[in-house]
Amino acid sequence: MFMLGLLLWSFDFLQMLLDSCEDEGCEDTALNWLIAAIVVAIVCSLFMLGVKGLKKYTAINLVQKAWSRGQTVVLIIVGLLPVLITLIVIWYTVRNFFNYVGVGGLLKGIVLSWVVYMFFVFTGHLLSPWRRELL
Amino acid sequence: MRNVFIAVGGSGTKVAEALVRLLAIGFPTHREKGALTSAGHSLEIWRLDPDLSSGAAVSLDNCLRDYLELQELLSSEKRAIGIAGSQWAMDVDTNVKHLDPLQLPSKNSRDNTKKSLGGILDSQYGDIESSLSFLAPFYEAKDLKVEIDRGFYQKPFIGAAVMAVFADSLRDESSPGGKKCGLTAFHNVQTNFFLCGSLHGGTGACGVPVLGEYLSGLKKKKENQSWDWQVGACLMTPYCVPPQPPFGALRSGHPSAQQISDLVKEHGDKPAFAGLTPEDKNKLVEQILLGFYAEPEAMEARARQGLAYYRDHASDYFDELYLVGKPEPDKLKVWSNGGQSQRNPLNSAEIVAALAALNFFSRARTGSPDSYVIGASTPELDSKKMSLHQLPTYSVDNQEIDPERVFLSTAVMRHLLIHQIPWEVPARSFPDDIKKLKKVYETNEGRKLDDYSRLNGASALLTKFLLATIHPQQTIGWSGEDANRIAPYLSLEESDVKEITAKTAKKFMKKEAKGELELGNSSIRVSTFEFGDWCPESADFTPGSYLRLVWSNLFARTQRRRPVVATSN
Repeated sequence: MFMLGLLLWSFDFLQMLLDSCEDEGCEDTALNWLIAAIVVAIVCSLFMLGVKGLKKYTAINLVQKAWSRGQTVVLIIVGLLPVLITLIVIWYTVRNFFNYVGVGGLLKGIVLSWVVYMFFVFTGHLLSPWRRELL
Repeated sequence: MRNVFIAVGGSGTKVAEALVRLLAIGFPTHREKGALTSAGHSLEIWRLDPDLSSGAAVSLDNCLRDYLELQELLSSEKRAIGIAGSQWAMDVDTNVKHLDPLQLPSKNSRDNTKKSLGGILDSQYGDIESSLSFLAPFYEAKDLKVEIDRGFYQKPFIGAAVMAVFADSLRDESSPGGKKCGLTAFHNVQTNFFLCGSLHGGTGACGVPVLGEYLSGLKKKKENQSWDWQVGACLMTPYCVPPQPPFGALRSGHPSAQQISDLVKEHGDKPAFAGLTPEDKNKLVEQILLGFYAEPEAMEARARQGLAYYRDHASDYFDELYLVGKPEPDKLKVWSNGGQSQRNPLNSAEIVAALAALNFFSRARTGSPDSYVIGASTPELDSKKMSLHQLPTYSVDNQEIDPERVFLSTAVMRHLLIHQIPWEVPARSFPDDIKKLKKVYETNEGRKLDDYSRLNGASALLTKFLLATIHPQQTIGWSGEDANRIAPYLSLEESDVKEITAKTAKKFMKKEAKGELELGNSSIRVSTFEFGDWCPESADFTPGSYLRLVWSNLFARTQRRRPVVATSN
């Protein structure tokens, strides 16, 4: 985990997230973009886990309360959409991201965010009583 | 406890069918480990009727086949061939013992070969001497000659003599009847014998008292005083009347061959003649012309005579005696003189008689031993269009068993089992609200699938039993309202399932159900979450024991519906 953190923090990796890094301080923009992608992923995974928890809690019968693997996979896939939309909105509204991260960086950021989202949403299931709905 | 239902004649056989239906639906006879059930007790059906292939017997056999299939689906143990048993309902021996009163011991190969009253009275087996010459003056020649292998044509004066000879033959365990009854196996065994037959017919009217006298005589013998035998009977007073035969009887004399042939040509293709050989058609025409058929007008008079006979002679034979009838008998549409063509639909009066049998089997008593309790129908009851709430109740272990509540519990149970358990998802994904079932199935997905398939099959059969008992298209004497109201619980239609699912849904932050499930005057309030808690403690439960537990819990929750009070401003 520590090594993974160092890798993400490394300048080479950060540069990968930018389309152009000619100006001074571009590595800060890259770092911000990385943080944004990770935060969005975590928030979305928590949100999707929350949605599932709420749906189960408010289920009015046993059939509604029982989630199959298929339903869980669909929920996880649906969760990729808010990650995508939120990142696009952030990328478009923050001038630095738009100028330096560019379309290539946006796509890389989305993929990274999806991977992190998947990691958290899977971990969330594995650490909860819902692990059997996935495995 | 062993129960023996002795169906005498066609009406008795129809009541036996009704009894099997009620047992399949879940009617209890005792309480075991806190749950009301009929499982653990056994039932044998004896059929006393010279008409071996009657339509009623075929119908009973079909019903028993369904019962066997239901029990096999709900049981995991192998039982003896023909024994339909599970922890859902009573073990029933599906091999009906057909006691043919015409099958008598014979002195030689020529003795007892004629299936007529004359032939029977001429029996000379054992130390019996032929009584024909002594009794012949009491009968007309045609009475002695007519073939009686399709019943006694509602002529008790013919049947009584035959039955008396038959009952006498039962004393000998090696006689055909004695062998079939196998009463030795019942010595010192707690047994309820319940006889049922019509009061106005031929076979029932004479068979019930004769056999009742025989059984009670055995029980009352000094050396048999310790036997815990109970002998009860239900007499069916006229509750349905057949239509007139296709043509009337001759006023006098004997029909000519030409007359018979002409009438066969004219009426031979009518339902009453269906499946008969040309020779049998001739015989049937001859029987009608000689007046050997049920006369609807004479039924009431015969029932009166029968009642007087019981009052004066026969009531002491029985520990309990029930009478069932209708103020105005239902009119049957198809005429038949017995045999396979006599296929009468199940009548609501037969269900009432089957409830009397359940009351007797549960050993609940009606009144004191010295008195009768006559349950009279109310002026509001239309016996042609009955509802479940009008059926008599009985009690098991001091708990009142209301038939309407039993029907509702079974129908709701079927819905909950099929539609409210998430069978489609693997058991490991079952919510913790059904943790007992989850625990059993999560390590054995194969068992879950097997149980689901068994419960699905059983549910289809339960649906068949429920509807075939009260649906006006298949029965007589029901209003049809209950069949319509119960249908959504048994339906696979999405709209019906949705409607009931909404009622069994839980309230927000509570386990309690949002709505009530209703049938007539009864209702149940149950949420699927409450239902999820019900599972046998032992992991090796059978589908039958699971069903019984769910049913018992549902039945305990049934209540009389609160009347809707109209308010005015």
